[in-house]
Amino acid sequence: MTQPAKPAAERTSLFTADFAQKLKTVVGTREASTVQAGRVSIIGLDQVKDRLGDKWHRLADRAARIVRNTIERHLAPGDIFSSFQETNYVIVFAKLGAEAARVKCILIADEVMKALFGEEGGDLITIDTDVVGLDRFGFDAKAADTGADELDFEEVPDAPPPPPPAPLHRRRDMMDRIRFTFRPMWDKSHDVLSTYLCVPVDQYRDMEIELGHDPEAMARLDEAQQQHVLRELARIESEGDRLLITLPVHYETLALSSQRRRYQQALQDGLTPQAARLLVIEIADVPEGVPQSRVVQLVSPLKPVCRAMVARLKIEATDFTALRGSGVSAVGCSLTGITLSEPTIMQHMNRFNREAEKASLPTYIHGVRTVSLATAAVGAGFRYLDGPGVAKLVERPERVVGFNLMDVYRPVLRE
Amino acid sequence: MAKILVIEDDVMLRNTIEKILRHGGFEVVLAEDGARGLTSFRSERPDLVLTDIIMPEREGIATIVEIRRERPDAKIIAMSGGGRIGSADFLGMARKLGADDIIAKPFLPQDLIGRITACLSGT
Repeated sequence: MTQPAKPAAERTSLFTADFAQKLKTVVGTREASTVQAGRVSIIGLDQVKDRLGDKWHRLADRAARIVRNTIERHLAPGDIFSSFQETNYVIVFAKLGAEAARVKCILIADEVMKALFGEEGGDLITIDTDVVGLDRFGFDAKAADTGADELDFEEVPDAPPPPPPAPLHRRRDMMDRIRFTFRPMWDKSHDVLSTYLCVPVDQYRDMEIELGHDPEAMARLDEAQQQHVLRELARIESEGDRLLITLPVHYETLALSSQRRRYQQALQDGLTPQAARLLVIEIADVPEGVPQSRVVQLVSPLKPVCRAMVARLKIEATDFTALRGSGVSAVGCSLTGITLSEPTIMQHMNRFNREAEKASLPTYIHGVRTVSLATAAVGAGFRYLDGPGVAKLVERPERVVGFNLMDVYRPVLRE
Repeated sequence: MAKILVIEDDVMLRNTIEKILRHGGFEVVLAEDGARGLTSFRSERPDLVLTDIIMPEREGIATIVEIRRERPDAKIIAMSGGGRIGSADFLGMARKLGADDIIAKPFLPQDLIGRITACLSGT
């Protein structure tokens, strides 16, 4: 199993000025309250490097990728990490006590060992969780050694109980509440789940978030979601998979030229040409009747850095003329948060497809919640469908899998 | 007189089918979606169920599966126009999951009567 934590004297040898500066940089991106409540853990690969010997230089990049991906998979919102001195990774857990952080690090070490050597157990990976007071690095750490340690691991769960239901967009800690998941989209034409829609969920309530009309919150969400998807695309590309990710971005976010440039630049910087071929960008909440020139203005800068762009409107939308020839490849709508009756939704589905067909645009629909609606959506002509009535949310896109009408009815057969 | 339960969400079509069946000598019970159809199935004990596929609340396939589960010997005919994509997918699925017969919309009155008569007689 994993080695016990190193004695304090040995541990302090890691705390060079360079390390301190790095940690300052890492924690400096978070609010003080988050940092004070956090715990610093260090995962070390020195012995892995020793075991690989001369092969290390050839495999270092791959090892780093594996460690980063594994750590990311285990992080909760508010946690942060950074690599340090080639073989070390520092993680600041925002809400875990020392024991919980240690367990999490052991899991990470086990997974890394399995990925690197096909072995269970992380004996070669050192874990240091016992832990550093941030005051060493000039931070106010008055809370760092109190509170969290007094709680049992069971009492410091990764998903705390639901807080009072305050409107999400008004809460300061909005981003800490969001967890990004993915919803497999059924490509009806090819009977496969080949595209994964990135879906932000409120991790405390286990439901998709609704921001209301709050442009600032939208922009923050879009940026965080973009970064998450970029990391996933890098992983998918490195693993040689061919599945696609759909990344939503609000129309409001792109409407401001400064935000649009920043968004485009982040894609350009964060994507290889190969990874860009795996990305579909969805402009969400496009107002009906917006001039075509405006749509083109939003689509043009982003189209070169993705495979395709699509536009999401309200299900009641009937005018797609501005979208035809604007550069978007499909139009869609979402049932998430829609409280209309099923008969009304079905009428809208049919009308939406009828009008989209006039503009020669294929259609998609998100948030299909029941088998009845899935059946109606197929009948209406949607080419791509997703939602609880089709397939469950997953933590990350895994692979392209076959999926057909029979799979829609499987829950009915199990009832 | 055989009793037919018609489950169809389109009110015009539901009423048209009712007329056709009454004219053909059948007793008719109507329901506008799968959920109400199941309730009527349990209370009315029909000799045959004629159900649409694309419907709100509980669509036709789930309705067929549930009816078959409750009464393995129930006689069921599925009908569908398939929305905008054609009926083949849905009717094939209905057949696979429990319908005794299928009929694509639109259909002629005599075709519907013929299918129902054949299904009731077990031919």
